[in-house]
Amino acid sequence: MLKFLTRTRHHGKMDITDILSWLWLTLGTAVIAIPIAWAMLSSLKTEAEVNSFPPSLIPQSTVNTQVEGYDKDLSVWKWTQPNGEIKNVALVRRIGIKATVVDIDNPEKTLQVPTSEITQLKDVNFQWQNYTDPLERFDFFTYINNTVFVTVVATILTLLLNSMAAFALSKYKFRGKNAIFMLILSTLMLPLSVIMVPAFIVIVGLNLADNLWGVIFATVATPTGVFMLRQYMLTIPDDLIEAARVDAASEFRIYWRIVLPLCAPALAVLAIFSVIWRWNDFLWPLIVLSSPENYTLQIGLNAFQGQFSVEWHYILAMTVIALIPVTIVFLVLQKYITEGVAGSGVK
Amino acid sequence: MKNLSAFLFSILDKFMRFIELPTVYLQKKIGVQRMGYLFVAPNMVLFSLFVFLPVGLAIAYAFTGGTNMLIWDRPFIGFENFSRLLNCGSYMDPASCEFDLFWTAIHNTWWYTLLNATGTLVMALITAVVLNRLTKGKALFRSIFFYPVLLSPVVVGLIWKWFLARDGLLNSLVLDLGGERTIFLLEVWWSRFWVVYVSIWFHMGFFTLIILAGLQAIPRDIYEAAKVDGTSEWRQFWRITLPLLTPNLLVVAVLLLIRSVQVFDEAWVLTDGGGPGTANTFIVQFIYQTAFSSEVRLYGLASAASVLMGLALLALTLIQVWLAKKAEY
Amino acid sequence: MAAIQLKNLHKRYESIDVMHHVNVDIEDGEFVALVGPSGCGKSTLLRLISGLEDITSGEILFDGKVVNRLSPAEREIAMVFQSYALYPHMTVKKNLSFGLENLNMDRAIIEERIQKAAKLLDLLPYMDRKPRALSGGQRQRVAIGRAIVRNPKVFLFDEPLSNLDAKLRVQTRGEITKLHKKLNTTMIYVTHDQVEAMTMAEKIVVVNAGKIEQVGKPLDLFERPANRFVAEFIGSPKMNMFKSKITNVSDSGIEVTSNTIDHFCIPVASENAKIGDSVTLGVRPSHIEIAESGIPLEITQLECMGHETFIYGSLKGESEDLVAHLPHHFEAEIGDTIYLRFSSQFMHVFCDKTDQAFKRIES
Ligand SMILES: Nc1ncnc2c1ncn2[C@@H]1O[C@H](COP(=O)(O)OP(=O)(O)OP(=O)(O)O)[C@@H](O)[C@H]1O
Ligand SMILES: [Mg+2]
Repeated sequence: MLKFLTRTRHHGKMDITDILSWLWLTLGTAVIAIPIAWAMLSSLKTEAEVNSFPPSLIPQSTVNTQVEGYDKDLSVWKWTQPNGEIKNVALVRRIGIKATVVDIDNPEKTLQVPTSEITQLKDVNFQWQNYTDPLERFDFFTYINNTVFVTVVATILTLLLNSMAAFALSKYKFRGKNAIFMLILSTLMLPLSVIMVPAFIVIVGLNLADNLWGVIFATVATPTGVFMLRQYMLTIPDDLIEAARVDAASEFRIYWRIVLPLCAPALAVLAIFSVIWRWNDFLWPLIVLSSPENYTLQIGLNAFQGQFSVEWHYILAMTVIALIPVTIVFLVLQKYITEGVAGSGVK
Repeated sequence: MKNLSAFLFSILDKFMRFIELPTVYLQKKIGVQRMGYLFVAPNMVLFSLFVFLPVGLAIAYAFTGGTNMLIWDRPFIGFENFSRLLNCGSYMDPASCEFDLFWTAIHNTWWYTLLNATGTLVMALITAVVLNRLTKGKALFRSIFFYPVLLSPVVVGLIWKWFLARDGLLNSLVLDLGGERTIFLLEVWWSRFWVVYVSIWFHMGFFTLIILAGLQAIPRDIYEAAKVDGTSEWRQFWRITLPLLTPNLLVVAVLLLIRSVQVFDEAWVLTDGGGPGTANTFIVQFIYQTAFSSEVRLYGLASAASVLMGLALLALTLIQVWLAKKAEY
Repeated sequence: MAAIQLKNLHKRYESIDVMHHVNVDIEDGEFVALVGPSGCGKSTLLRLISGLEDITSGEILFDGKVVNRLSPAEREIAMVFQSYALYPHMTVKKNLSFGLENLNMDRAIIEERIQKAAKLLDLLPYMDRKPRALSGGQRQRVAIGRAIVRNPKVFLFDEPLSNLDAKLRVQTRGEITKLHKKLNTTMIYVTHDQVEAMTMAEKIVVVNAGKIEQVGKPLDLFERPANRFVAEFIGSPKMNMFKSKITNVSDSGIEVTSNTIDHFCIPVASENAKIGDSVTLGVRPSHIEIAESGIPLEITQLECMGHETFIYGSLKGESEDLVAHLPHHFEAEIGDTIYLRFSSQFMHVFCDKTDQAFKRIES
């Protein structure tokens, strides 16, 4: 590993530039990874531990045990006796600097020990309830359902509609084709933030306010998708389409049976992007959706953190839920994603 | 499994054959080439509804007043929305304006844009240059730096909110180093700093990737020649890399400005809606609040603000298109 | 099977006319080759016949019925593309059956037809492969197979052999000819290779700049080119041309004089000839004989193949080099001077004004 890290362009010696470069990369990686890792670790802590300060690194919890003669579970402490012997004891009560403990092995006898001699035992303990509770007790199950619905439906529609438009713009000759293409391209430069007010009014006019379909329909026609697929379709030889025409295929069948399968690689890239976009969408669903049963995960999470701002153990668990699909997609397909972004400048 | 997928596919095929029927009829009617209209139609309908129509509506609403939503229930008031937005004692002092929040937002956005664009550009450039030097591990580090771009604004906002919390990791580090516990997001200047910082953290990977692509487009042999001449790497950077990259960097810079002006999502989550007070309230938030979350929904005023922002973005976009053309020679 | 008539066919792209009022008759079952230089409109003509391209004006008739507005499928044509245009994502079998499935044909009939075609073209071992896993020749056969299975009325080929290597091309040429004999279907075959056209076709249509220059049997075009373009286009190496002038006109022919020949009488119809008109003389390299005396030629290049010899040289007073083709071995050195003789019954005369040939007087 060290050898790998210190490998440089000029074999053997490291100069100051190399050292600075590696410093930058290491520091950058740390800056990126630490907050995320910290949120992930914290999401597995108990409520008490999340709220304790100074924070512990690894999710832990106190060890409790049942001791005969006591109704409640007692916490287990490590007692370092003055003679150096170490023993596990259960704490009964603590007053000032004195603590009353019992020997776990013979519970009849209680002992008085100074608190300075005992330290609480902690176990690594992942609090998975943080993940299951919000699904059961709050609406997160609905939110996730809604998000999955929006993501899947919008992605399928994006692929279909954008590929149809791209097909028309790359393989047909009709009047106004270039004008239409320029119009579509120009929408690339028109951000949602400028038109969100009237776009919402349109949604209201279509009776799609507070409706997941309102979120979906406004997002499926993407200039990026049309542009990307059109570029790809231009590389499909026209001969192929004419051969299919000679083979008695209707235009729709040519689209469905010839063009779509041949565009699979470009469609896959668009699908990846679409899934990420729709999963992460915030501003538009925030505007369209108003009742909690229609919230997507992002909106629900934002609302939840506003309302229960102290329940960090839940907030963080749901945050991790929100980032996991995207992370998995990225881990598996990072090559396509980074190349797709570098190639077309889409985000 | 194979049977199942074959079965599903056959159902899909039947379905598509069913859809095909009317298109065959249409094709006979209008001819093959005009089928292009049919194929662009669904997309164009959606674009018209959610892009072109809203652009028209934004302009129309900007000239109407009242609180009704339907355009025909709204009185035409000319430039009143604009003049009220622009009604200021001094543009330097938001408090002297009729809509002080609008001008606070403009000031905030202005500073944010300046700092965020500069910071991101510098960081992304350094990272791209460092990545470009790597012979091994380039793909790995590229992915690491790009990863935050894929996160959602809510996730980013919450991760950092937690990191910067009163009992958060940063405060514990600060205390360990002998500092004082600070509630970063409730102090005006700290919160502004962290909003910019988080934005850079969030979006830098995207711009790094674009700059990296530009760097990789610089022909290798130019460097080979410099190496033969014994030019040091620093000199190479200032004398070769930077001048050749400048056209690209300008395009990236304007793109950054365009994106920065629209700041909203992650800042909104991070600062609990633009706080403390209005220290992090930006233009998009002003529009959002005016139209959607204030007691009276002032669509006209919000639209007027949208139009103003749209004009600023249009100017930036035109500059960008022009620069991009120039970068291609 | 169908007879095809093109009547006054015209095609224009935006503002450029690419087909000028073309008239051609093709008989049922005929093998017709369309030849011409690159960009002359051969593919365009083929695509107009196929229905892939709409005609601007004129008529196309299949068996006497106007098909102007019918789609390729309705015209029941099949086409083999230069690039083969095999569907890359489908197996050979799928490629063959796709067209039949589109016609909603019965599965059993489809199966039977593709088996028959595959057997005929030796494709059985490759049925489950994708086109990418086939050699050029195999792909070519799949492309032909895809045309055959549909039992079309007309086969259209657009330079189907140009992507094959020389040996395979000769072999496939034979196979297509055999196929035509067997199926007896009308075939229209575009090529820029005149050897292909001469050896395969029953009728050749020479196209140039969107116009038909001549239609005829292969030997007809070779022996009696109607104009200068056809004369130069058909035959390899090219016909030798000399500038000359008419010095006399008579019933038995016209008499011409040039820098190399003097008062030479050629037996062609002389109705349109006038004394003093400038004309171009043409003689094919293979119609030139070596003699003891005659027109002197200084050899500048020599190609000896053993069984035949090409001699290149310059004639005194002529700007263009002359080529002679001898069907035997000929011993000579570069720089030697030899003597040539032209025989008048093999000479062609073209009017310089119209580029049309003077008709041969057949003896
Ligand atoms: N879609 C089109 N739009 C405008 N002009 C075209 C179009 N298709 C062909 N042409 C023009 O028509 C003329 C004939 O083209 P065509 O493809 O028929 O030539 P060709 O004889 O097949 O040539 P080649 O031997 O190179 O294949 C060319 O000048 C070409 O530029
Ligand atoms: Mg052609």
